[in-house]
Amino acid sequence: MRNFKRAIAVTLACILCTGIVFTLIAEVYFSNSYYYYQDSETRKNYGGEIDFLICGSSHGLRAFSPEILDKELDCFSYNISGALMTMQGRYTLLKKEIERNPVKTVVVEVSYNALSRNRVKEGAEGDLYILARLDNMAERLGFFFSAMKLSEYDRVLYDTVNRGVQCIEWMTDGRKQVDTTVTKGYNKPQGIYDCTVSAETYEQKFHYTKFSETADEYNISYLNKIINICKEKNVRLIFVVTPISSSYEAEHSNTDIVMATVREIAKNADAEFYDFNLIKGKDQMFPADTAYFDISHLSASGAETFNREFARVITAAENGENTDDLFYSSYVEAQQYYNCIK
Amino acid sequence: MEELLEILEEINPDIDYETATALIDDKMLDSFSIVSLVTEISDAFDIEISPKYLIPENFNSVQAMMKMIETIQDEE
Amino acid sequence: MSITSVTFILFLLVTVILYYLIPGKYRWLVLLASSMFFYMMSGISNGIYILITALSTFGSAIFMQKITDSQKRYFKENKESLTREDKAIIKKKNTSKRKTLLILTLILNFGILCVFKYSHFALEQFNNAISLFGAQPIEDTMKFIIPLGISFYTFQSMGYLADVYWNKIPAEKNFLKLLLFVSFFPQITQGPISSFEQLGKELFEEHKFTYKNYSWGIQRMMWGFFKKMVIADTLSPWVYDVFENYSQYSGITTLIGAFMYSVLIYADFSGYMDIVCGFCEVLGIKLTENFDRPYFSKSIAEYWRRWHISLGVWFKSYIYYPIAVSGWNKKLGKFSQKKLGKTFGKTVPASVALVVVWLTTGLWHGASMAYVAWGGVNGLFIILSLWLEPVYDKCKSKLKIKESATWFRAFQTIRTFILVTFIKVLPEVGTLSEGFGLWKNIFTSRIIPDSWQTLLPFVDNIYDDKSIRTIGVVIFGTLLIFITSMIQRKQPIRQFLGKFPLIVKIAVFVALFFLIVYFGIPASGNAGGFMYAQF
Repeated sequence: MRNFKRAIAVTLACILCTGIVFTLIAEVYFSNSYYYYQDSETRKNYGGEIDFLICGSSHGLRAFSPEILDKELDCFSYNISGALMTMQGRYTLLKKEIERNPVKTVVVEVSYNALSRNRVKEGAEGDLYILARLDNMAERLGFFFSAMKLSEYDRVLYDTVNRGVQCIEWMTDGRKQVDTTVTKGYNKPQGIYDCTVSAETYEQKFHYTKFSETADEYNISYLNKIINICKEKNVRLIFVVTPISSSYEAEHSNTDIVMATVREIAKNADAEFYDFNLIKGKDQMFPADTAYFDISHLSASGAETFNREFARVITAAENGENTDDLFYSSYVEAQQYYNCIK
Repeated sequence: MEELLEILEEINPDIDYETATALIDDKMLDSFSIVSLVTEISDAFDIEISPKYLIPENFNSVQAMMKMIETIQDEE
Repeated sequence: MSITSVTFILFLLVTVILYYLIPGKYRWLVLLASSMFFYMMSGISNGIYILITALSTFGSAIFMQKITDSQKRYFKENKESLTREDKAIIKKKNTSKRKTLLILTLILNFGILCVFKYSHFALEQFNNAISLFGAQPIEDTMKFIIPLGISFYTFQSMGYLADVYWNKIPAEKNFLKLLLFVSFFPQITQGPISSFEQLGKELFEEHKFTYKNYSWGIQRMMWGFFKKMVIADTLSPWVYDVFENYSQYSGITTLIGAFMYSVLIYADFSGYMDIVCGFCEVLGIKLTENFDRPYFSKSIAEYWRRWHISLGVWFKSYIYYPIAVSGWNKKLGKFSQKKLGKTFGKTVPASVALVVVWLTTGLWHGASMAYVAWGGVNGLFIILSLWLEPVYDKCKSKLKIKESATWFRAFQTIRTFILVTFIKVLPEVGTLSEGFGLWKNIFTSRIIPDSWQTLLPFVDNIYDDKSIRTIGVVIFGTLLIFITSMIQRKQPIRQFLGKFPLIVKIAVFVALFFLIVYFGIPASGNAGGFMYAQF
């Protein structure tokens, strides 16, 4: 027994010491905002002011600029989108903000893989960013145990320690922390990617592949949670598909089928649905050679146009105008008007 | 006993076999020596040494080797 | 289940807790259940082969034992009436029965092993042979998933069977106990290969929980994780980069790659052993050692007594000795002594046995000509040193070199390390000619490195902070291995650490923990599994 008691005592001492060192390192990372996505302070300080929320993955992160939307829509918006953000991540941040702000409108960005992406295959990265956007250790631990798989624990440990060490270095170097008060969640990309292709390539790759059509249970369940909490709070719910480069989209033969599922969900939720890949004059609005940062994300200039167009459309809808005429009814139809050839 | 000592002296004359008790453990006889030793012993004493006897305990000293030889002779 | 994954650690934790909760007599059942569970996780379809091995070994041994026991009984009962000749006849008959059982079981189990490991190799050699006659090569459409640990458990089981055949040990009457011996999970993937005498005692005896076993075991595991994850997994992509691209690198870079490989394979393999042996120590089970500071060896022969010791012992006990002292070899020895003189002739039986041992050792390590050649080269060095021993002795006495002189021992050690490195690397590059190509590149490459990046091109962006730190930790780790090896000449490291107060040990634990997290976790994510895992 004495042996056993001693073993337990020493083990606990080791765990305690390890825990202390870990907490010290982790806190340098979590309590500061050296990384662009660390906006928990900013959001806390804006608490009680936000009336317009955008919630999406990286497509949303690069598309929606609260600076422009605030001007166009006369609102106080915030973009809580994030890179590789999972549906659970979206719900976690959305719930927090919708509960401490007088939110009137929620925009949910959905893309071609919003429903089909698989959390297990994709791994922990999206959820790692969420950990750093929560307010305190208790929230972080709660999210950690809820979202992370057992086999990912070592990755989370490494990521936290690695970033902690990096932040300690930055701190000692006197590096400035990121200011998210103006951008309010929007991450402006640097650079442009020319998404025009030769006529040959376009023809060769036209409809040569498919997007996954299987909607993942996990995504559906959290999306439903998002819809429910929005309904509870009586907000205007808007589903939006941000523009992706036409040359990339045209490679897929089944986008209509994939989007039909999302449309269905939006319809059942009494939500508005706008697919900006179907907007008439898409490739004039979002020229293939300047509007994109990569094949599926908007560039800074593309985002500027997008925000104005988006504001125009939802204002018109709010005023009771018929916005259906602004859009084609299917990808098959829209593809006839694509203009992305070199 | 004398025959055995003669054989050992031929294989490695530098060792004092009368007093050594850890010929294998102290690496004074290596596996090559063992092979020669086994061949010579089986000839000299007309016995067959099965591999099961090739363990350190049986070769660590002259006394152990004699004991092993006697055991095998009894078996036959 | 990767040994460096969270799920495996959880699995170990559950095993330890269950082990000590269950009363001592039945603890081995926990180990059996864990081993079965561990094996299932590697794919149920493969489980059939280990069961075949366990069943055939168990059955064969039991029958052999029955024959031996009934013979003993019969001789005892009829002590008066049996003559020496009668006994000899009965003995001969029984021996041949037992031998048949042995041979059939050996063929079955080694047959299974060979089909899985060497089918592609055999087909390749067959195709090479028939192409000499202009025939079309046969297409290789065989797709096998090699059962986990087949090389290790087959050898371990057949060793047990041989021991029973030689009447060294009695057959185990409890099938479940034998099954545990065959499938014990800490050693199934990479050894150490144990004898039933050794391991059986450890597995089935009652072990009390002691603080020392627990503390020493955990310390050893931490050291193993450090070596495996921080040093080996970091070096792995660098070394394989050199192996793939040496023709574009300078001689010195290639040489660095070769030495990194020596460090890598030691850190990887001995690290795994530390994790596995450390865990068993927590259970109170002592596994046999596989390493004894091998790079401090003074000759190739000594090296192979200090590297992968359990494999060497297996080959010695079950291949080398049986061949070396067999009847036909004795005859050959006598014949050679007549024809080639006494000194030289005497070495022939041992040399013949060595050739067999080394070619099969080479083949065990890999199913390719490169590995056979590697085995042959090792064997050649050992045989040569055997033949040239009298010559060396003469030289040393002429030059008045004292064997025990420090400088001479250092010279021998460094020479052996360099030799071992070159030999080791040969089959790892790819084909045999690629291996020779690497050797050639070290000495004849015209490329001269002109910056840190070109000297160490296998490191991505050497000027990046993290890259510099990573190189630093690898160098630090290697030095640490060297220093701990030096300390180990006098005493075990954990005993050395034991002299310091608890806070020092906790500090070492915390430091190792964070080094493993910061450097080891990213490295092991990229580099994948253990090097001996395909065995």
